[in-house]
Amino acid sequence: MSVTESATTTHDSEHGHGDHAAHGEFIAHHFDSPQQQFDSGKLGIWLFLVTEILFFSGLFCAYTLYRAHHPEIFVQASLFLDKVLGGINTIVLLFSSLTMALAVRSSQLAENRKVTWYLTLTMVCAALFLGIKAVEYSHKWDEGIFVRAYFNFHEHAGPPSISPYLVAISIPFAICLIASLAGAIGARLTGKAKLSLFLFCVAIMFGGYFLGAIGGKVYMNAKSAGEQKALAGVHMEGEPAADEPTQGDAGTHAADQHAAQEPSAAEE
Amino acid sequence: MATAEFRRKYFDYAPDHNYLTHSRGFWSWALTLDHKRIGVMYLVGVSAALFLAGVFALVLRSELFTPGKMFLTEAQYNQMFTLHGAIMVFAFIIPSVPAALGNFVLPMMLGAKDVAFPRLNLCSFYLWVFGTLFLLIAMLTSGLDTGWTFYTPYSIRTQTSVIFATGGAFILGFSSIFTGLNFLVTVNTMRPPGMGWFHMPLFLWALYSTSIIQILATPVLGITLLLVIAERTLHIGIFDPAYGGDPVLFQHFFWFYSHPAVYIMILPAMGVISELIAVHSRKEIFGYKFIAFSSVAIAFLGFLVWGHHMFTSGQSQVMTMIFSAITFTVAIPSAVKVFNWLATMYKGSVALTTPMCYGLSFIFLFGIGGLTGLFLGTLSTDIHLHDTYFVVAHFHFVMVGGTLTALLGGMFHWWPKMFGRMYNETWGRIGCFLVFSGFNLTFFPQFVMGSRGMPRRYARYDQEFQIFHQLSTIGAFVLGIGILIAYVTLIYAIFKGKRVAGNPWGGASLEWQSSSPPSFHNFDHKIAINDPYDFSSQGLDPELDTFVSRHFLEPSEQPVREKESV
Amino acid sequence: MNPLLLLLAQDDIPKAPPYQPGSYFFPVQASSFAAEIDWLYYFIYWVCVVFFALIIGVMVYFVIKYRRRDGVDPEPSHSHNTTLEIAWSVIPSLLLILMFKWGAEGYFNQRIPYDDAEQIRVKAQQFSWLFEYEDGDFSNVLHLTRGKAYEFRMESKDVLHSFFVPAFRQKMDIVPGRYTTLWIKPTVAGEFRVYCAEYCGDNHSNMKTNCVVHETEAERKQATAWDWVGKGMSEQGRVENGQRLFVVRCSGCHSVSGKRMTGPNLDGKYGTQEQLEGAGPVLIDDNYIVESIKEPQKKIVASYGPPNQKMQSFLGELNDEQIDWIISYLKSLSPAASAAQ
Ligand code: HEA
Ligand code: HEA
Ligand code: HEC
Ligand code: CUA
Ligand SMILES: [Cu+2]
Repeated sequence: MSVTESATTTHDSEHGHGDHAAHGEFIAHHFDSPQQQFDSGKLGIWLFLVTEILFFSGLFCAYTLYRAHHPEIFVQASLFLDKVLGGINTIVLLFSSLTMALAVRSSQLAENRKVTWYLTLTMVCAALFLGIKAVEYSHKWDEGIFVRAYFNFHEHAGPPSISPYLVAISIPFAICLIASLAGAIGARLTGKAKLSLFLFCVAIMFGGYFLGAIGGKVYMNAKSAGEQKALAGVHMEGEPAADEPTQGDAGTHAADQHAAQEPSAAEE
Repeated sequence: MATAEFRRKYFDYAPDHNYLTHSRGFWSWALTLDHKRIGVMYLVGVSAALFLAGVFALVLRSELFTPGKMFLTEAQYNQMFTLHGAIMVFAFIIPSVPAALGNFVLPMMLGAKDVAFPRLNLCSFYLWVFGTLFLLIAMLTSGLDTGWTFYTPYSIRTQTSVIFATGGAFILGFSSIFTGLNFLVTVNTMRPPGMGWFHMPLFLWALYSTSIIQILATPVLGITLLLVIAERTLHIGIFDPAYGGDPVLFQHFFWFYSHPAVYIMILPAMGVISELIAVHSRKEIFGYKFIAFSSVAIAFLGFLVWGHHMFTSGQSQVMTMIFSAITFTVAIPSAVKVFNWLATMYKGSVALTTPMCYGLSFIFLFGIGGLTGLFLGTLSTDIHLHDTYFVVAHFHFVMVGGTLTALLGGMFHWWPKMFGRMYNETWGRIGCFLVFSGFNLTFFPQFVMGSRGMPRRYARYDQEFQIFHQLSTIGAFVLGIGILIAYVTLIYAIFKGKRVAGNPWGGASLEWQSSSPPSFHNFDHKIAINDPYDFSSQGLDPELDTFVSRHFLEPSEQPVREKESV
Repeated sequence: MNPLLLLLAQDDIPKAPPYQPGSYFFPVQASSFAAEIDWLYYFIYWVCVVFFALIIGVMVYFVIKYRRRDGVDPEPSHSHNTTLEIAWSVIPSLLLILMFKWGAEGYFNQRIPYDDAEQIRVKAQQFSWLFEYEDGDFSNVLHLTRGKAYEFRMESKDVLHSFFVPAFRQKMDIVPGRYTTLWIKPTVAGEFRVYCAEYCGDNHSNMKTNCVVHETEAERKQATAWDWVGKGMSEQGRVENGQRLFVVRCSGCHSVSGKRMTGPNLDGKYGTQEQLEGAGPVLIDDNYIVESIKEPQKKIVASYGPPNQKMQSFLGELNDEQIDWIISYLKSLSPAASAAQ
């Protein structure tokens, strides 16, 4: 906060209030002391967090009621979620708050190099999170699972191994990655070391997205390949799919049932 | 130090060294971070909103002159009252006192140079502009006909511009949140040394309580409106039974914000009245702590009563009872305030200046408005009165008779400070008288027709209510002329009014210790921090014909805490 | 022709009955709990009057007594007084407790069922009312018997509405997706106004009807009775049956006087060509009408769409025979077309 607010100092010094120099550059003209400025910033950001909590508490409230009214929808919908990807994302987010806290700590200890790397790590985690989310979302869209007005679920056709939605989401990230990498190299060559380092960190951050997206997609493809194989096995033995013991998570099971029953019904 | 020269330098009318003349040109206003300019811009903005929505009110009142069709179809009438209500509530009344007057006065009352986050403050203003633009876009595209309450499922199904309107209200909500956040931090951290919580002017207590409500309640409105938009576009099934949603849930969400919001409207107005009554009676406010704590109590209790708008909605009967019980508890802190204002005048020196006239009308009108709230809080009578003109009359008495009156009073009170010019007292009082009498003529008959069964939001009505509607329509025009006169008086004063120096009323809170209009940094000198209601601390400076802290008149007389300000 | 049909202005809302005044603030007390509510209202009213008079009295007195005079400074006095503060907090509180208590008692009288209540189903939709009685009759003017208790079981097809009869001091919202109930025991015979009190769209203010309270049950029955079987036989009977159904079920949206309402005017429409929204013209014949009733969304009349939710399907609400009667009635409004057959 203190950094943001300090911008007002310039505004003030235009009008030549010389005594402000005594306060130091970073304190805004309307504060009496650095302490006051710090307290204001801190209280301000806490209050902002309060408003955020309340903002979402409306959603939570709606969620709770909705879930109480229609429990079956939630059971159904949860079948389409993947525990592994969700679990990784939770860890990634928690880890990023750790690195952020470490960054703050390092900055208080004036260890600037560490600040840089912790911040980069935090941003990488953020991008990684987005990458995994992109896989999860595009996977649902591939299956036609949209919000109600556009809902268009087509029975387990086996999502394409390269998802057009995922590609579309990734394009802007790819552009940013290439641009920042190119910029970093360019800056290096023209001897702008700081800029180069900055753009390099940015590039690493976008790299994080692809780590998530590609990793997640490979995992998903492996998973659905496994399902296909399990299905094929069912057909060879000619057994009704319903008797097949659940393997992996419940989501595949539900999908299996559907996909497997139809052909077997046709056989009869 | 405290020479006549010093006083002339710092307290006199300052035509070329103040925030208005500090810099010139469009951008110097549009990009200003100065709380005073932002306050003035807000004042212009909310006044425009008041006039626009006021014209809608006159149009709909004219339509109601006869029971059948005058000149509006039913659909057009519905648009009229919706736009009237929505613009009045979201674009006018919620930002009116806090964002316009509060912005100007709050930092000065603290002896500070600005609010804690000046950029955020400007951002709030632009959010207000954008939000209002959205409402205007809604108005100019296919209009809005849901009522200001956006009740589902109608708001999900109607073909009018609900998305623009809710989007606008959403943005305006954030404007209000940021203002609240800013004020809360400012009051918390920027009080000058020596000003404890109980040395603050009561207006600050009122703004502080208001800010708490703005921060806690408005986000819920935000998410509710987003859900309405999502329901309309994506049919997610939260509020519309056709998609498996629950319309009563929407009402809970809406009133969880909108009931506290009515206290966002009235608390700052009450704060203004505390100032007006004390200053114009030259009397220390009676029961300071009770008034201060009653603001906080109203803010807190206000969160627990939203269900009283839903007595007939089909919510459970137990909840209905609980909400009714808590509703009555809000009446007590309001009553405490009214009684304390009266006691303040006791043995005072009451001058019937224009601000004081508005202050007294406030007590009269808010008294009626608040007391009629009791009829509505009582379960069995509300079943009959709900959604009739009784409710319409109730809320206009508190919102127009309360907040609008206080806003006008506050404008007259602080006008000399804002522009360094005095308005014409005679015209000021004429305006006030017309507002007061026109208002009563407009809204008193509505109580009678309401309890006789006239439903609200009716473009066509039955013959037996006609006489009341006609009185009401005539009253509305008188009221409109009164408001017009008040505004003309004020605007005329900016250009032709008599020049006044820092403190014409003898107010003791800190904003009066600056030149008029205040300089860019508010105070260019040390300020003497005294009790905001100790009017004996101010003495008349015969040369400037204005009041000055005695500290600067006879410096040795009493020890006063000073705040270094430059 | 049945006098009932003539009584109703066919394409307009029922005419308002004359206002029956009660005390100054209220219409006549026509239900079992009306008197109690009025009493409570006047109790609060007088409490308020007393407090208000005191406040304004003191205010005016102070303004005059302590008006500013040159050279006179305000006298010092205490700036707080805890006893006084407590007194003026506690005394109003006691009164508020009374208001709450009596209000809650009255509320339960309004909301708690009578044992012997006859059930009436209320079906509200934009912008008309339909009342169905236990004996199978129905009407869109409400008919009740004095001294008899009724339970209203209310449902809405589309948006929120609210059933409000000022003379009964009774009101309840009608919420789509769930049933709401209310109870009334009329105590005065006569005709009273019924309003829709919850905003429901364009013609909200025209969603009014009347409630006729009869002296005896026999009169009530006679007023709503309709002899379907006997009349269903002849063409004339079919037309009359159709007209009755039309008045009750359709006239909220369709006029037969040429007036455009929520839906198109249907007078003389049979046998003519209708311009459809986004499609060519179509002949209004028996099949088209059946389709319009069962699947109204299929062909939308030009300038009536979208929004598409206005006319709801009557599938399951009107059987084929009833639809046939309606067709007969609509046909009878186009003499040319029926003569041509
Ligand atoms: C500024 C806005 C404002 C304020 C301050 C209030 C104040 C109060 N309101 Fe009001 N209200 C609205 C704005 C406001 N209201 C609006 C906009 C609506 C309708 C919204 C809509 O549907 O569109 C509404 C509707 C509304 C309803 C719902 C009616 C219905 O739809 O059926 C109810 C019901 O309980 C209610 C009650 C109260 C009460 C008890 C107070 C109390 O806070 C009042 C307290 C004040 C006093 C009691 C007076 C002062 C005290 C004395 C003079 C001393 C004597 C005191 C005693 C004897 C107790 N209000
Ligand atoms: C701050 C809030 C606020 C304010 C200030 C007002 C001000 C006024 N309101 Fe409003 N009103 C609401 C908030 C407010 N209202 C709300 C929330 C609703 C509910 C909407 C809903 O149901 O959804 C409502 C509904 C409402 C109705 C009920 C409509 C219905 O239910 O069918 C009526 C009817 O009389 C009405 C009238 C008025 C009048 C006459 C004024 C007057 O005070 C206006 C005075 C102002 C002016 C007149 C403009 C200024 C002067 C000029 C432009 C000069 C020109 C004039 C002349 C020369 C005469 N209002
Ligand atoms: C809620 C209002 C509403 C009700 C009730 C209603 N209608 Fe309609 N009706 C409409 C609207 C709106 C249209 C025009 C849009 C369309 O064609 O669907 C329409 C169209 C029609 C048409 C086609 C008219 C033409 O000019 O082509 C017929 C026939 C019709 N309705 C018959 C009926 C009958 C019979 C009933 C009662 C059993 C009825 N409606 C009840 C609203 C209503
Ligand atoms: Cu139905 Cu209003
Ligand atoms: Cu409320």
